[in-house]
Amino acid sequence: MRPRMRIAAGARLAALTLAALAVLLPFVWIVAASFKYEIDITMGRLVFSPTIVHFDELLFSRGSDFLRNYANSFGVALVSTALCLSAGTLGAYALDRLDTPAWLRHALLGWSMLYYMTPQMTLVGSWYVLFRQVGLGESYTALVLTHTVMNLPMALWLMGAFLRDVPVELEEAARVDACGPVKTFTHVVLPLLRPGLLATGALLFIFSWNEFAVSLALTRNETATVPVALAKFAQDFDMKYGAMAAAATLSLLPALLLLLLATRSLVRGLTQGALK
Amino acid sequence: MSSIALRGLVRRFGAVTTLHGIDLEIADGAFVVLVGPSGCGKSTLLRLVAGLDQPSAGQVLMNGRVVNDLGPAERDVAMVFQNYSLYPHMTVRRNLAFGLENLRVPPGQIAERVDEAARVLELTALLERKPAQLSGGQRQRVAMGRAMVRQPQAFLFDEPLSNLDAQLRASMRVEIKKLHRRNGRTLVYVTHDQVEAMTLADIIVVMRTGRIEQAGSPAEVFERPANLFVAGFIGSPAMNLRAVERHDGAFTLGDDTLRMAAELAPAPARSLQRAVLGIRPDDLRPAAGAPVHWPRLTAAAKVVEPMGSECIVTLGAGPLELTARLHGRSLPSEGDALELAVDPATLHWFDPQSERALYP
Repeated sequence: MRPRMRIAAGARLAALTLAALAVLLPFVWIVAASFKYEIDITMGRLVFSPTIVHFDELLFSRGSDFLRNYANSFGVALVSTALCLSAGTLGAYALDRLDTPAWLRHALLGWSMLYYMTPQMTLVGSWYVLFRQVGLGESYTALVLTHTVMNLPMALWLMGAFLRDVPVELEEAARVDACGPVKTFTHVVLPLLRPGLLATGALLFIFSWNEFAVSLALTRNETATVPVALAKFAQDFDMKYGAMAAAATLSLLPALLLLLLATRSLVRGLTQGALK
Repeated sequence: MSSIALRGLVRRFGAVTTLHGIDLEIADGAFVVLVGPSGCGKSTLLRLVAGLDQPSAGQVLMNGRVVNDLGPAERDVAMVFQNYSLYPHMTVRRNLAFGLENLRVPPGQIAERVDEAARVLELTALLERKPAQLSGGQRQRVAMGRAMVRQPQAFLFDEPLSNLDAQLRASMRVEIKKLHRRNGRTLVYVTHDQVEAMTLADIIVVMRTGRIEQAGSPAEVFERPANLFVAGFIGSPAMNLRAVERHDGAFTLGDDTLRMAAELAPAPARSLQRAVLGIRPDDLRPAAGAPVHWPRLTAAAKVVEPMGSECIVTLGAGPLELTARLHGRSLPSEGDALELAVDPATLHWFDPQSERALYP
């Protein structure tokens, strides 16, 4: 290798390492803190004798609601993801493949993007009033519905992109093969969308799982999700750093698992062997 | 069994008209090839026949019945797509069976037809594979099998061989011809390759910019092209088409490179001051031994492309360039001066204004 190329390669490696460290260090710090005694955290010790006291307290102490919060988050994320994915996929299919006029398609997609760009905080107040008035204040239903609506534009756009990778000719082949519109969707289009569904589903799940502002406004103690619970560890006169770190570490797990799954399906070829 | 008739078919996409009133009768059991340069509307026409697209005006008839409002399945046609369009998530067996399942054919019969098609197309060993695990030629055969098992009224092929290499294309051409011989169903085939058109068709339909230029048997289209476009499009190497002028009772080509008495031209051409003369490369023969009344020309071989028992020679004759195909053992080399003659009966004459062919 020529010296200049070697220097360039070295610089690239250094830059990448720096970027990776910038992303990973906070995680390492939090995960490490979750295994430290409170005193080690406050003293900022890098060498410490590990303990699982925070996890123990979080999961098994009587005063802790964390398992419930975890279950709430899981349920809300799962149901809102399912709703969002169904509506988003069907919507994207209707906009892209049925005889939707171009102006309507652009108007709807543009509008959904505009809505997605609106800061959620501006909507929280009206949602709060609205759900109280229909008797759904601080309920799971309220949270599931808001999360579904908030992430729908994302689902619509992503599934639209994945859908455009499914060749129209395959649907035409199905039409020639006497396959009705519903069966064409379920037996030809949907199986080919699987990697897209997995990737989009993982992202939607993670968004719902991490959502804080709306969940804070629309839940009470019994319906609170993990991010809301996390915030409660930081109070005016008492910061429970250790418990907070342990809770944060646990809350990373589903996102991490899903991302691994989604990356694999994103990388896999979408329509291998369909054409040519 | 099915005859197909197209009556005044028009297809517009917004302001663009891709088909300008197509009229065509396709007899039951015929092998019809739609051929033309890309963008001539041949694939659009096939999609209208298939029922994948709706005409802006005009009618599609099958067995005398208007089928404009029927989908492809109700028309009972099977189609082979240019990109094969195999279902990538299904095995070859399932790809073949899918259409029959949708038509609620009894499972026993499906298995029978799939096995039969697989045997004929030599796909038996591949039945449990997915399309991604097949070569291009194998995918092509699966696409054909999918059409075969349906046993439809008519087969529609949309440039099915354009993704294959030359050798495979030649062998698949034979397969397609065999398929047609075996079941005798009406077959409409789209291609831009005139060799495919000539070798496969009972009837060739030459299209240009959304219009039919000529429809006829391969021999008819080759021997008696209706106009300049068909003459230039059909035949490989292409026909030499050159302007000729009449002086003193004789037509001359270039600077007197080729000269022939006006009586040798067909009657409608004789009265013209200018005409376009067409000479097939095969019709230029060595002058030695040619009848005396054949017009002759002397030319230099500029480029020689040997092809075994024959060669294609690009000739420089005065200011003109002509192409000739010469047969035989002793082929010319580049730079040789050649004395060539042409049988006046094989010449093609065209009116330069209307571009129509002039026949006696």
